[in-house]
Amino acid sequence: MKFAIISILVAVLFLLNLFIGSVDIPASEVLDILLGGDSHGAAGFIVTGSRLPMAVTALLAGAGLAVSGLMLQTSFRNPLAGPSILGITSGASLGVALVMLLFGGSVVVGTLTVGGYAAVILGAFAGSLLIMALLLGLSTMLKNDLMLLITGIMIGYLASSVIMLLNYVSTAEGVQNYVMWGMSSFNGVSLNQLPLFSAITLGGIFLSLLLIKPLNVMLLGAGYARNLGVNIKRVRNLLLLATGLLSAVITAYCGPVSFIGLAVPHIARMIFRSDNHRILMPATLLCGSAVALGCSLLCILPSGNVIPINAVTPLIGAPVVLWVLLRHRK
Amino acid sequence: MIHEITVNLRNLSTGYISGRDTRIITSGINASLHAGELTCLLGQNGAGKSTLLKTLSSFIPAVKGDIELFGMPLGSYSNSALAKLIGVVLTDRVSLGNMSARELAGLGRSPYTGFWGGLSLEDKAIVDEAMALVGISSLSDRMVDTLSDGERQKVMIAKALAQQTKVIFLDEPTAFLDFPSKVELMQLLLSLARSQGKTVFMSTHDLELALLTADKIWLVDKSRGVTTGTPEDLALNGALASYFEREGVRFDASTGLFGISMTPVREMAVRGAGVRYNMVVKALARNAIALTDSADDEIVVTDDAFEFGGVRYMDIASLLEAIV
Repeated sequence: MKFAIISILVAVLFLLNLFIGSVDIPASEVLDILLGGDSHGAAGFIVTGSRLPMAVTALLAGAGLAVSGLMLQTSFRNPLAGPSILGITSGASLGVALVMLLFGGSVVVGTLTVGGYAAVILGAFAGSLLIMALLLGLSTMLKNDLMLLITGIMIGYLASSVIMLLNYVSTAEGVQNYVMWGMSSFNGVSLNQLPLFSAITLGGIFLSLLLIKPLNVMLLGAGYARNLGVNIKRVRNLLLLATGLLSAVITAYCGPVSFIGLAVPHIARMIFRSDNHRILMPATLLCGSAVALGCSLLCILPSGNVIPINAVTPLIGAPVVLWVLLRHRK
Repeated sequence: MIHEITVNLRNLSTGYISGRDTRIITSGINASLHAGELTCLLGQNGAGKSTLLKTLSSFIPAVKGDIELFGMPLGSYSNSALAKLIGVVLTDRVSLGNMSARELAGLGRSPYTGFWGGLSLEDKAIVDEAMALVGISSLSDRMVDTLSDGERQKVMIAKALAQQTKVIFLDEPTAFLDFPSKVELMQLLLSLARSQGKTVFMSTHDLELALLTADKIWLVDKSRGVTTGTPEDLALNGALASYFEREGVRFDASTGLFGISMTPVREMAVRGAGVRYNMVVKALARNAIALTDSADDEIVVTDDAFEFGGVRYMDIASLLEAIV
C-alpha cells in the first residue's frame, strides 16, 4: 500500500518535471511532444532534449544516492554515514577541480584533446575511482569500519585542501565554472549521454539489490554476521564497489549533490517502520527518486529561473539529520 | 552418564597475531566441552576469557595447538558450515529501532534461507519454537529497542536457538542484568543444555551463580592457564581458592562458595537457635564482629526479641544501633 502510494508519487513528480520548466510550454503541447508529435520546434527540443533527460537523471540519481547511503549506514552501523562521508564525492570534486582549475577545462588524453563537459566528467570519474580503489585497498588493512570511516573523512579534508589551493592558481573563469558545477544540478546529462549514465546507475542499483540478505544480517554487527555465515570481506568489497560506482557516476554528471544519500534512508525508515532491507531497500530507492524529483521541481518553481539543486536538498536533509541526532541522544 | 565430547582443545594457545608480532594471552590449554552440559568460563578482567571465546568461535585464529569441533579441526569447516554448528551470543549491543523481536530471532535462520533471506513456513515455525523455549513468545511483536536488557538477551538466545546449532557460545550473557534475571537466564541455559542436548559454553563474572548452576567450570588466568572440572572438584582440590582468594575474599570450603572476610574488630557471644539466630550472626559478620563462646558482650535470641545488656530489642536494626 505504502509502496503503491510512493510509486504513484514518483510517477506524478516525474510527469510534473516534464510539464513544468523555466520556459512556459502549454500542457497539451508537452503531451503531444511526448506522444511523438513532431514540428514543435524549440518547445520540442526543450521537452525531449532537456526536460526528459533531466527527469530521468533525477529519478536515477536520487535512487542511486539514497541506496548508497542506506548501504553505508547499515555496513558502518552509523546513521550519519553517506556517500560523501566515504570521500568518494570529494575524490570526484578533486578530479573536476583539476580539470576546471588547473587545465582550464580541457585535458589531453594521448593524442586526443578532450574539452568541455567530457573533460569534466572524465576528471570526476578518475577522482572517484581513484578514491574507491584506495578505499578498497585499505579495507583489507583497516579491519574495522570506524577506521574506514575516519579514512574517508580524512580523504575528504585532503581533497578540499587541494581544491582550495587550486583556486589560487586558476583563472576567474575556471573558478566560476567549478563553483557552478559544485552547486549541482540534474540537467548535466544530455540525451546522448543518458544511455551510458542510466546503464551505470542501474548496474550499481542492481548490485545493491544482490546485497539485501547480507545487509540484513550485518544489522547485528560484524561478529554476529560472521557467525551467521556472511563473508564479511567479500560483502564489504561488493558494497564499496556498488556505492563507489553509483557515487562516481552521479557526482560526475550532477555535481556533489548533498544530503540525499544521508537523509533519504531515514525518511524511508520513518515511513515504512522497518529495518528489513527487503522492504527498506526498494523503499529507499523510491523515496530517493521522489525526493530528487521533488527537489528538481522546487528548483524551477519559485521564479522563472533555475536555482541549484544544493540550495534545496539541505532544506530536506538538515532537519532529518537533526532529528536523527536528537533521537539517538536518548 | 558420559556426554559426547563436542569441542576439544589440545595444547591451545590463544592470542593475537598482527604481522610478525604475536601476543599470546593464554597458553597450554587442554580442555573439552560436552554435549548436554552447561560450562562456565570464569576469570578476572583481562584474563583472556573473550580471546578464548573468539578463538573457539573462529573469529580469530589459534596461535598454537588444535581445536577440534566434532572430531574435525575447526579450520576445516567453511564459514557457512560453521554457521550451522556454532551459534554465538555476543556482548555487542544490538540497537535496532524498526525491527521486532521475532524478526531479530529470525535472522538466526540466515544460514538456511535462500538468496533473499526470506523465511519459509518451516523457518517461521522454528523461530516461534525457539522463542517459546526461551519464554518470550509474548514479546514477538515488540520492537527490539523497547525491550529491557534481559529481554533483549533472551531474544539473542532465541536467535542462537533458531540457528539450530549443537554448540552455543555466550560472552558474558548475565552482565548488565538484575539479579533475578541473572538466575533466570542461568537456569534457562542449563535447561537448554539438558533438554536439547546442546553444548552451552558461557563466560561470566557471576562466580556464585556459576558455581551453583554450571556442570563444569573453566578457570582461566594468565599465569596458570586453564583449569577445568566440576565446581565441587575445583573446591576440593583448592583450585577455586587459589584462583580467586585475596584480601577480603574468602573461599568457604564447607559450602564450596565464596564469602567476604573482614578483620574482626570485636568479639561477641550469641545464644539461641534457628533462622533468627542465623540472621543475628550474619548482621554481626557484616559489622566485622566475630563470634566467641565466652565474651563480656552477649546477645540472647528469643522467639520474640533480641536481648542485649538487659534490654529487649524488637528488630535487628535497633539491636545493631545499641551495639555498634
